Amino acid sequence: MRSKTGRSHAGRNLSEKKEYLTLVEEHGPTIPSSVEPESALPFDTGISGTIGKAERLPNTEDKRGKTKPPYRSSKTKAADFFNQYFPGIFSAIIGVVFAIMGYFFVQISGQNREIGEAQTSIVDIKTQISSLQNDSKDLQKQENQLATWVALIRQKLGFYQPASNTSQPN
Amino acid sequence: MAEPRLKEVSLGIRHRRSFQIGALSGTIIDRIANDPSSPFFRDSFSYTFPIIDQQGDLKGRVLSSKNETGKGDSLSIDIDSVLISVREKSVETALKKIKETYLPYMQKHIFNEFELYNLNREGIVFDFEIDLPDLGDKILRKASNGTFSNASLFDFKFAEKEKEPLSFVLKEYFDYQIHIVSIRNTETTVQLKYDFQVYFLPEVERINDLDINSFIDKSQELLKSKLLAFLDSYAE
Repeated sequence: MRSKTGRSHAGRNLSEKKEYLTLVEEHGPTIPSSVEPESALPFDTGISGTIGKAERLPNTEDKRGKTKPPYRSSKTKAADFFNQYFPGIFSAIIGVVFAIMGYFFVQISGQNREIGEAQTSIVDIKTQISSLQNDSKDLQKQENQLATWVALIRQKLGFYQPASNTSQPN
Repeated sequence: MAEPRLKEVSLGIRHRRSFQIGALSGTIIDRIANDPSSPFFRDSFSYTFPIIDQQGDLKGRVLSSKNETGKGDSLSIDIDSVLISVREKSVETALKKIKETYLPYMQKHIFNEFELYNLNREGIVFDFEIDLPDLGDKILRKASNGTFSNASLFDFKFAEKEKEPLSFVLKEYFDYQIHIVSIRNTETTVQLKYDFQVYFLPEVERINDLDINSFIDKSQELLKSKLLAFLDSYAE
């Protein structure tokens, strides 16, 4: 009997059961030829079996088109499931991983751009501040210059006394 | 009714033909016989002889514990199968010996070490003799509805094929079972053989994928329900 490990659970429907019973009836040896009582082997090497319709046996041709002998794998049920669905699961996982990586890449790229733009703005502002500071210095200089001129003018005007308001005889 | 006497129980596992066995059979037998952990150790299994099949080719070898009476257990390895034959007086003793003494070594060492894979059949044969000389006559009378009787030579053989329960249910398998019964008379006694075989489609890759103990238990139940029940039906 086959061991319980590694069994599949795909069951037969009614028509598949009938097909199986027909296959059992047609396939394999019928009555074996004489088995000598003194023979060491119960397996009669001279069995002339009538092999049934071999084409009705399960198709074991692999996807590359080569026929390989059918045999059961010894792997466990989990390993069978893994091997059967591994390509699909692996592809799905890879796709999801790449999608997540792409999303974060886009996000990071966008933020980098924004950071760059912000830095550019900061530089512009600093430039403007510097320019204003320079302008302020210039204005201060001009103010000082004007103050000097005003003081000079006042000094010169100090020799000219403005007329007083008392009356003078003519 | 006379009780059938057990002569021999043989358990065989058939695999995809391994042509190397024919060339290496002596080496393989040497390794098994000289392994102190082997139940087929040379101290008790001291006879060996080649198997020559019906075509005359050298297929393999037999390692035997034949004693002075000419009887003993034997291990047979050829290009198609591994066969263990046990000679005991009772079915229970014989099966216990196979399960506990020989089978573990066969599974662990013989099949795996010598790369015997892709198993396509397992079978067990119960070989009896019974002192019931008129058994053949009774069967003949019943089968021929009294037309024939008193046959001096009788050789009745048939094979019953049936579904394997697991394969009937599960899509993946196309295994089936065969019961082979052989009843033949000699001058003094009647020889009975009941052979229960399971064919595997697709093949089973490794020996560890087979539950041989369950197979042995089932064969014992079928022996009682099939052959022995058949004999009982002819009891006086």
